[in-house]
Amino acid sequence: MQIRRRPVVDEVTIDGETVVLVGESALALSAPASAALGLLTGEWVDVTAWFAEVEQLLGPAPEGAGARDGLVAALVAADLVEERP
Amino acid sequence: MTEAVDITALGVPVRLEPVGPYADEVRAALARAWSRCVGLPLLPWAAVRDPLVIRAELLDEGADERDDTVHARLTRSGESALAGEVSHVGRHRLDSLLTAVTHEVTVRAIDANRGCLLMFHAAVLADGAGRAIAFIARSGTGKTTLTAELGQQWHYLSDETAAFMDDGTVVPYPKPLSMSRPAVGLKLETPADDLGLLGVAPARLVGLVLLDRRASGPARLVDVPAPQALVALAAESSGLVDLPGPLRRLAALWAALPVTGRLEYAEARDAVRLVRDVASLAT
Repeated sequence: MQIRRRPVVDEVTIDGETVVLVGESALALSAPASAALGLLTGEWVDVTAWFAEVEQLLGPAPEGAGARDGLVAALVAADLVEERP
Repeated sequence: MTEAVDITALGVPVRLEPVGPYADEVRAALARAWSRCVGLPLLPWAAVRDPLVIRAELLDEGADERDDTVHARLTRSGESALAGEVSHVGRHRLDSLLTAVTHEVTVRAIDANRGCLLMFHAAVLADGAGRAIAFIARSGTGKTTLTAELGQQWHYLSDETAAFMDDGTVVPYPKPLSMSRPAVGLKLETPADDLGLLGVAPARLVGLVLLDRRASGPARLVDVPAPQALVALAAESSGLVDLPGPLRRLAALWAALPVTGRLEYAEARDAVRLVRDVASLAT
């Protein structure tokens, strides 16, 4: 599976926490989620390779693939990321 | 023909035109309700445009095809919009019309300023030194009550929509205050004069405060981390997405202002005392 960032209206990072404006709603991301999102661009990347980078940055996730899938699902639900097979 | 009432709403010229069989009565009510907005300065981008025109009309019962449920009507630019489908008679139908006018003026003034002003659902008042604080909250959560209390000592600039230029200058909108009257099941547009609120004065923003009215407890100003503050501010903003770099702009503003936080309070009087103390320390 591949993922990439979706465009947002605006974003700002304060003390490691990113706030994004999606449509007319703002959303504050936790520091780990901010870091994970920060590794994505508008280019499609393999989700496994991306998550390896995330773990390199933040340390290994205790739940492994479950954490990865949960993070991707949360970012997709927030309209910050899109995925394709 | 009954004379129009020309006002300035958020720096935008608006012409309220009373029409219909009760035009004189409507004009008198509009002039009284909107007296604080007469003669206010226009914003540069609004000064060159024709005024927004809103026609306000009270109808005789049965004068509309919708018969006895429609007693007031607003018209704008060839469109027709019903002010309210109310079954009340007598004075209530004028109240419904005034409420609808306030809503219409506010919405259209906000639209006219999209992309130009930072605007919040907020009351804004300023002390004698021109230090203004915006009290941000959803409708029905205490803005107007706090305004009525603080406005006895501070200049009343708005009870619902706070607007600012880039340099923090407040664009006043001292509209009639929309006060709930549960006894009649309506919000009544109450002229600021009736409440004894101090008049408009030049002011610059020194504070953004998120209102949090509670059932009990003392008034206190609680720090809010910037990310959470931005989420709350964005939720209570108007036209934010039309501004360039809207979140960065909000973040810079929140960081630069000397008075920020969440104002927890139960009694408006306690909140007023705290606000006065806090503002006096702002430079």
